[in-house]
Amino acid sequence: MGRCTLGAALAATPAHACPACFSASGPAVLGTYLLTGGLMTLLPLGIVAVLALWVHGRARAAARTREAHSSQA
Amino acid sequence: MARQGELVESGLLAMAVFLGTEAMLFAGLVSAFLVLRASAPVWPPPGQPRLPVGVTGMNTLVLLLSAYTMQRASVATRGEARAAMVRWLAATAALGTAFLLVQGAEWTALLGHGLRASSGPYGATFYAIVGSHGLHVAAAVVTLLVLLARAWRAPSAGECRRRVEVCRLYWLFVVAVWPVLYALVYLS
Repeated sequence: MGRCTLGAALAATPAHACPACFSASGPAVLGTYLLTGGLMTLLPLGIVAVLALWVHGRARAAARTREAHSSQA
Repeated sequence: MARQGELVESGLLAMAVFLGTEAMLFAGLVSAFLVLRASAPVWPPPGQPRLPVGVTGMNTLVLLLSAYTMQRASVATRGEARAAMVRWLAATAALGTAFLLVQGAEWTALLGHGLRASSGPYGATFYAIVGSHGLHVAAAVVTLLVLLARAWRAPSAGECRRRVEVCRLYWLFVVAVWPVLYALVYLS
């Protein structure tokens, strides 16, 4: 099954959908495609990471507050 | 700020997630602009009017100032200073409106000089990027005016605190995006 998949992947003709590979008319455009591709790939990951860190920070702050209250009681 | 049992105030979290999608929208527009610009032999294309860098630079300062006034409105809600909150919210709305009016005047002048969305990639990307941002500022100003009307009637500043915080987050995003767009579209 694995060999069949590998064979199919290697034998397939390239899909002309990747602008970086097929539409870039020069090094400047190719660089821009790579830059914007990187931006559009990494930005959502960054957004999710920032949100997760924010919620995590709030959770830690809430835990510290609870601890302070319980130690006072 | 958050209700008991909440880690993050739900309105703020919803706004943060929404702003994530907004950031993707602007990243898409900026990406399209960069690719079209890199593909063009000359940018700006010959025969197209030049963008008013100086006036828009001053307008950028107006928008940046509105971030300060919005911040002061937020501080006023924490200090239970209702009159100050209303004053700072009104100042923010006024600065936002001034920004939109100058943008509108700029668009009118550029249209008069023949720069249209149908003129080519230069006009299309300019109106798409600057127009999208302008729509966001307009939405923020309308939201601020609604908030201002509520704040005017509210018995205390604390009652408006959650709404002001959510609005502040959106406003700061709209302000923070603009210098990036200005640098890309006007200065580069």
